Amino acid sequence: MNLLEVKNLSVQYGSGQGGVLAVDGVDLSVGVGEFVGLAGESGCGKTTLAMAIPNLLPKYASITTGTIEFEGQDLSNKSESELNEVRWRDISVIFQGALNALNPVATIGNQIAEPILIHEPGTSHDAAITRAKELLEAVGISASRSSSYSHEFSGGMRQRVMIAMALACRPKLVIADEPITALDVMTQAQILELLRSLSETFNLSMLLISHDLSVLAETCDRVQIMYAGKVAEVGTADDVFGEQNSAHPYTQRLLKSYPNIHQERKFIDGIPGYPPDLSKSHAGCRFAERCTVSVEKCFTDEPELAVISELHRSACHLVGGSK
Amino acid sequence: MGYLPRKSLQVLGSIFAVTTFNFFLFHIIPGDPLRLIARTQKLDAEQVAALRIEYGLDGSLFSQYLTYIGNLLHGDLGYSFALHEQVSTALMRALGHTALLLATSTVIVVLFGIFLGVFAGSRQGSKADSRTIIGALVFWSMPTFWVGMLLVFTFGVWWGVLPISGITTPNAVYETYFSYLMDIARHLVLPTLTLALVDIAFFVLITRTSLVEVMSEDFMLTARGKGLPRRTLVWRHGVRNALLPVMTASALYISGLVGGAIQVEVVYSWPGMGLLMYNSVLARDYAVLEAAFLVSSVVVILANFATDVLYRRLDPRVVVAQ
Ligand SMILES: Nc1ncnc2c1ncn2[C@@H]1O[C@H](COP(=O)(O)OP(=O)(O)OP(=O)(O)O)[C@@H](O)[C@H]1O
Ligand SMILES: [Mg+2]
Repeated sequence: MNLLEVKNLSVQYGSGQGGVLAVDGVDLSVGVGEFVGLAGESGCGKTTLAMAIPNLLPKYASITTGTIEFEGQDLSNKSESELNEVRWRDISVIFQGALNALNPVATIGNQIAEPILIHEPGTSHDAAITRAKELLEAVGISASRSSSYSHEFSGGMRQRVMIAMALACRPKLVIADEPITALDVMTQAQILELLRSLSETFNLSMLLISHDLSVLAETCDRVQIMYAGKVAEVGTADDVFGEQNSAHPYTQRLLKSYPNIHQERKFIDGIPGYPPDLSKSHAGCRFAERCTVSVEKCFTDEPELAVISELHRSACHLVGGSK
Repeated sequence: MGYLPRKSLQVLGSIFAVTTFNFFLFHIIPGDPLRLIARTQKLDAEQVAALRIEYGLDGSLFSQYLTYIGNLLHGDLGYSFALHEQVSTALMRALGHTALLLATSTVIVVLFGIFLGVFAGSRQGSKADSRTIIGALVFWSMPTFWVGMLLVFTFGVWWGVLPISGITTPNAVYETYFSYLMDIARHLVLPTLTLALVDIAFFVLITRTSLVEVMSEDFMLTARGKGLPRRTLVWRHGVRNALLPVMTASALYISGLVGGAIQVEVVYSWPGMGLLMYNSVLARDYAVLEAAFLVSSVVVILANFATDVLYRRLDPRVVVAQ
């Protein structure tokens, strides 16, 4: 059984006419100890999908269809207090843009210790602070900084504090929404190394959202590509990113528009046009208008996720795409 | 120089400036203080001349100013012919009464105001929220003296359950010190209630707005993600941050009240600063007014000083900005 099994999930912001269907019938699974990557252009619904799992969506957002099974229990219809049992103890989140994710008037030591004290009653305050200090050391911040406040840290350090905080209760699943975007390459490598070693020690699973496809290719067991609120392609990192393997024209374009450091930087390979407006309904494939290989059918019929190989699925009428 | 010594120097500087301004304000306005005294006291020209020298009113404005500062440093605020006593004595007494009224009502107004503000702000957009706002605004828009009269009629005249005037029952003989205190407490109820009813909206609205803003901050989502119970979420993370502007408002409120509980003190004949100033205006008692203005200004300065110091304790970011 998978740790997390999201099925046919749809999330809408607002309602009626102006409503934005940010996630539309998406499946997502994460196995025990598995790292799953989530990629796709800005605004395609990655954060929305991720936040829906522990239901941290804003009030005006609603889950309109689907189930979110975590260890066999459906989280989508749990009450706030039931969810509080699961939050952070089992599922923690490294929020996108951790710059303001820390409380300005509490020391970071106390903020890291807080979930420990909440979820492990009986832990003394001192013991929790000691653990907070160990976590800080683990992400490369001196334990003596535990009594500092967030404004005394640089952006990258705050990001690391956030990572330490996410690991505080040794959760089963960490949802990391662009956790290393604000960090330099050296620190990125350290953090990824740390997360990977922790996953081995604690059997930690991770849903990693990143725009950095090379990070996903390196770190993740499986990768899921989203486009305009839908899954475009999913498979092992090799299935999706491998030279001859990616089976969706969108993934192929995404890979091409990704700068390769061995080549001269070019911007001409970006994908022209913009993702469609999610507040309108669509016929056909959502990528059709920007797709260079689309055929007539693409504009009228919506493609299903088709099986390509054991773990590999692609939502394209021309499975295999244009090679 | 450390923060406290530097800030204290600033406070002293401000007090000096206010004192000077206050002096010249009262000496530039038309009206000879001695003529006022003469009007009430039936003095002949010789006595007036003697008083003129005694009060240092014969010299230039500047030498008068020096005399004034000198007297001030000795705690001498002059003599009130209207009250037949030293200004400082009258002022201290009034200040004590006002402090009692203000301390009680401020504690009530601030505590209940914050509580109601949090109640509404943490339920933003709900019925409870809009009802609280409307309720607060209704009381806010009532004139203080009108609410005072309403309470006087209801509790004092109609039901006759509470005293409506003064700080103690006239000519009362107290068996014990406790019964004396109880008498004061009973006199305190209506003035406090009047202030509380009208002014609570100020704190309800500020707290609510501030909390609503804080609740939408990123770190509140983090706190929610941690699985904190709602009450912890609201109070520990929300209110703790939302209180910073409320504190500034409290300082403003207190300093505004020192000379400004006039309506309530007049309605209830509460012998505090407001009533003293009111009567002094009617009696053209410049000596008392001048001193009362000075004291009010000093209280404002001190209240702001206290806020600054408290703010630094509550908001770690302020220290760095220094
Ligand atoms: N709070 C919100 N209210 C209304 N619409 C929202 C809200 N958050 C996101 N959306 C909309 O939902 C869609 C998906 O947004 P989401 O934040 O999930 O994208 P994303 O893939 O995480 O993008 P990015 O890579 O820029 O973080 C977008 O069209 C966005 O405009
Ligand atoms: Mg996002």
